[in-house]
Amino acid sequence: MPDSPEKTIDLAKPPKDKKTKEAPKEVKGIPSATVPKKTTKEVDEAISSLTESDAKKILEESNDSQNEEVAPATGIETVIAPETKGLFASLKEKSKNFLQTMYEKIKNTEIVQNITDRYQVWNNKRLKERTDKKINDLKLETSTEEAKITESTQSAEEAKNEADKAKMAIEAAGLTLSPQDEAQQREEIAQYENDAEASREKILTNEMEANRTETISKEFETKIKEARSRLDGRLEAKMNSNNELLESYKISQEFYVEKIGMCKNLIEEQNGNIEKLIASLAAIKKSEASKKLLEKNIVKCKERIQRLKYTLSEYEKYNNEVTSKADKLNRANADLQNKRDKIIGVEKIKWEKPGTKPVASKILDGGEIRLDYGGAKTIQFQGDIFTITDSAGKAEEIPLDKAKDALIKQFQGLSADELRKGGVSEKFIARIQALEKATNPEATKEKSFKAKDVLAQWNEHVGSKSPFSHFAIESGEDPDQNLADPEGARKFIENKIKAGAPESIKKFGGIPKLILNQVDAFVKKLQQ
Amino acid sequence: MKAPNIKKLIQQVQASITKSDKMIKESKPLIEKMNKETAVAEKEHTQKQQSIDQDIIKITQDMDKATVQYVKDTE
Repeated sequence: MPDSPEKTIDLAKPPKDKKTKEAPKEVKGIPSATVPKKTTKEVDEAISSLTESDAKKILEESNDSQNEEVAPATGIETVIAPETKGLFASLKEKSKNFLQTMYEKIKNTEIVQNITDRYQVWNNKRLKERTDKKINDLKLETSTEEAKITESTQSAEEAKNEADKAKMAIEAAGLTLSPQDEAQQREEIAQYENDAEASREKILTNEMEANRTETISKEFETKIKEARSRLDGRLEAKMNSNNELLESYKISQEFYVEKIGMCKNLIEEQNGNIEKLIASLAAIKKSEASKKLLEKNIVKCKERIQRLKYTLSEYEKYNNEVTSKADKLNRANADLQNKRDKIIGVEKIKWEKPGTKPVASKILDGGEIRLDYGGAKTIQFQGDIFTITDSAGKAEEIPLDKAKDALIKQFQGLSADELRKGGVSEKFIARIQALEKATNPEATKEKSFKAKDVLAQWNEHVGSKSPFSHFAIESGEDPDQNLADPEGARKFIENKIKAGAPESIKKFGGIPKLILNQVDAFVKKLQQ
Repeated sequence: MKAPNIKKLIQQVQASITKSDKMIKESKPLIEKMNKETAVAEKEHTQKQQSIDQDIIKITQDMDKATVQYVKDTE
């Protein structure tokens, strides 16, 4: 009997080794715009502390402090996969508790119900609300910093005026301001200016962080949609598999029903024979031999009826068995459909499975490409957007930036020349070529200042927690653009920063010094 | 009843008994064959379902990881 409807899910067997492998921890002291409460001084120090020995020291300190504050949460660890436990362990306590309360609701281990419950976690509005709150907090903090800038700038101005007045008064009295006093005044003014600069850095960092958070949030939403489509596809596959077995059961049922009918007819026939034999027997007056012959046949018929009844009962038994299995499978399919409706709702979209290949492809005018999968299923690419349409005409749009390699692979086989002639965007061609290069690593070995390589190195340089680490090749940019040298790379990165926080840059008339320091460190690294 | 009618009746009954015997005799191997075919179909079904379940588990594991990562990235 198929076991699928009752199949249970076991994603997270408790690991044999209780020590969980921890993901990289947030490092105390490392300059990170995601740690908003750092003072300028701390950040500055951290920038200059990026030597190996200092970083090691900071890491040790960080580990010590984390060991003290992190108490392992329970519950969620029993429902998430072992490889995610390390990541979970690296979360802040507040985040752990937040996830814990959502994952607590996953209790049913039956696979279909389990994924339905899980989907409710991934798609929980509280995740979005949490992100929105973070963005709002950053904006509030920005307002505070803006007030600080005004205050610091005014203070600097006042201090400057007061220093001038004091100097004039002293000179009027025929005295001279000592170099020490003058230096002290300059230091005071510089302190106010530094405070204003730190606030500017903070505002820009906040804007970057808010934008990064927004991007991450959107990416996560896309992931949920993709997971939803993939799960729907798998549930559909389960139903199809059930239907295949139902077909087999149907053949069995038809066979048994036919045999049951035949048995019943034969029993009826034998009963009719007996009636005829008895009637003949009653008509015989003299022939004992005939009587015996008829009686003997009556016995034979009765015996066949018994045996036929047994055969009938056997056929009925197996027919009932297979009918019961079919009923159970039909109920499972109804449940699956119900769960699919619950997960997918009215937005049901079919994705083509990775590895699926189109039956036809065509490059149309205006840079449009159309892949045909038969049955009205198509993938269309135009204006850097993929439109995936299922056989029911429902469509899903995926921007090129969000498209996974599996989707891009569907277009492999179309030559770059062919695509260029059709006016297909260079960005798309670059994605295809990048995929081809990935399968041919020799091409990536040489050191270069290609835009995409510089970006990758920059993102690695600042670390994944940094709001500056999510720079990507934008629409209209050539990922293979040769930036020539580290200075070209500097300009490229600075432009990315400017584009990432345009409001702050406009407000401050440029990139704050503290961020430029990071760019300098990166350029130096490139020069080595 | 006349003798020729009896003979004819007996012949009919014999034919009917032969048909019943055939039905009875073939039932066991036919049921066995049918059960065997059903078992093969069920085995294939189980394997397919297990394979799909593995896909589902992979998707859910990836999504759980993405969810935790999302929370971490937006801390």
